[in-house]
Amino acid sequence: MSSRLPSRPYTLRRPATRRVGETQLSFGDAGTDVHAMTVSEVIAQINGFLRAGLSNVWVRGEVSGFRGPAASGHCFFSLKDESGGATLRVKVFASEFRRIPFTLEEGLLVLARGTPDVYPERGELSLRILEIQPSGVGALQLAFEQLKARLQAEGLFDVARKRPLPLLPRRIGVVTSRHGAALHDVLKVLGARFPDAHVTIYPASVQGAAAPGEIVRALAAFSRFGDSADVVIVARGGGSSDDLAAFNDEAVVRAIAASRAPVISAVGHEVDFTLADLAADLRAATPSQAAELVVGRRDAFEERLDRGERDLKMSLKGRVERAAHRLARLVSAPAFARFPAAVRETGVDSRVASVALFSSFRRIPSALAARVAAAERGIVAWRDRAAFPFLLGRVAAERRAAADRMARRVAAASEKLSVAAGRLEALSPLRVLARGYAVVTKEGETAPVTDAARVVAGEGLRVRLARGRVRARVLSTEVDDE
Amino acid sequence: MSKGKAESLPKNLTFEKALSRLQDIVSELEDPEKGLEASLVLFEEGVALSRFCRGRIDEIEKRVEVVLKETPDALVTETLEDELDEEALDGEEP
Repeated sequence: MSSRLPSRPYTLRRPATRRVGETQLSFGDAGTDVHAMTVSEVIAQINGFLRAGLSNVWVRGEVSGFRGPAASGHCFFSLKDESGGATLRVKVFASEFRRIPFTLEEGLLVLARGTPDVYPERGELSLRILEIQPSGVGALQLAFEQLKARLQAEGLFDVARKRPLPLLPRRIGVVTSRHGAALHDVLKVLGARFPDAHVTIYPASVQGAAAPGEIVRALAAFSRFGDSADVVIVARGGGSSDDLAAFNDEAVVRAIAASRAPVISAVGHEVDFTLADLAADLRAATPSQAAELVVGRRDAFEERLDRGERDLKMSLKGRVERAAHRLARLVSAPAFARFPAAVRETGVDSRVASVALFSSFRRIPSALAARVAAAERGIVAWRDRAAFPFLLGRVAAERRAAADRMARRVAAASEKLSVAAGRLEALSPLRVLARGYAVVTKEGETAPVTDAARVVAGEGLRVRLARGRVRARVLSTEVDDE
Repeated sequence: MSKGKAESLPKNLTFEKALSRLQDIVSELEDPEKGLEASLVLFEEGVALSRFCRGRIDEIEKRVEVVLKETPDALVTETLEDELDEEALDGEEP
């Protein structure tokens, strides 16, 4: 390039336009013989030297004055010596800038490969960078750390985001290679644990350039068709390769975080955590482990249900037995015993009632809830009626019906009866008498007189009061027309 | 009368909720203070929950399918017959 310069005729003898006083700046005899070059020629020559001597040099320095790419997509900043003594302008053209896997940051120590040149319009020297990598760590490692920090700051890895897996997934989605060991392992374990599992496999490459796109597509599909999976395993065969790139791909990580169903990552790497692992709701070290996590053993579920049902029955049985026992005690309680014969003749038999109660509980527990409620209502009604001696007569008249009703009610009575016990005590005939009522019997009889038609004028009666007895004689009778 | 009470289970009941409620019921029933009537209600609920859980287990159909393609409204799948056939699955890639 420089060899061209002398051949240009107009540079050989150029008219001197110097003024007096500038002569001392000239060399030799100066004047019309000087080989003057244009600025662009000088720069072109400099650039030629630079290309010849400093082509593709590696420069180590700190990124300085970094402001991201300009509107053109090109990027201009400086590299500084760590000691701070020297600065070199650098430029990264848009096409190269896009290929940098990590994010340039102010102060980052980098190794840059390029060739310096002078930009003619400005006369400014800068290094045109063709390749750049972080110093110390690998570019991919740095990219990983940077992406991790960014996604972490966004909250994608937050524990609070983790969703619980369904205990019993109805459909299990699997994203993995169609013919890989991972699929084999997952199906094998699932088959052993829950033979009836419904598994939907969405084939996707798990390594190579196409992998991220395919994994994202599969995850999106499971999310779009909401019933297609209620848990998704993203699996990669264990140990065969160290290419985990797809599982550190930003789009994949985001797709995992965005998945409608909880995701289990099973990247098949015991040691390394990928970003996919961090974004997943659960990480499994291997595909087999993922399958173990995704559904419990069918027989374990069934055993749990069996136990639950058995415990249910046992506890109810115990309760009914206790209730029956309490009922038996109740009906033989003093309050009950002292009750007028008419009531006792209703046919309540504590043992019969208990047995009926117990067996009916055992037979149809669901019908019993209603029975118990009816019994409760019955007890209240019965109490109210018994409170009035004139109604006691009806008890006798309704003996048969009452016997049936009572048998039913008492048979179904719960420990509500323990409340009733207190009430019964309060309603003991003696207390009724204390409230001013009296029991009237004929001379020589024990059954109370409840019907005026049963006595005649002049007949002797015994009147039982709360305290003491009175002998009386009937003056006249009035029979109710009914 | 109340028959089974299955219809009174919450609409959005999940298997795990049902199972955990069933276990709660069992421990509630062990409380001697619990009234018989309340116990019966719990018992019925427990039976319904247990039935629900078994139903959920039974309704899962054994199936292994592979997505062939997507249409705008569904995944088109093909059922794998010999999903556990070692030969068929011997992996050439991870």
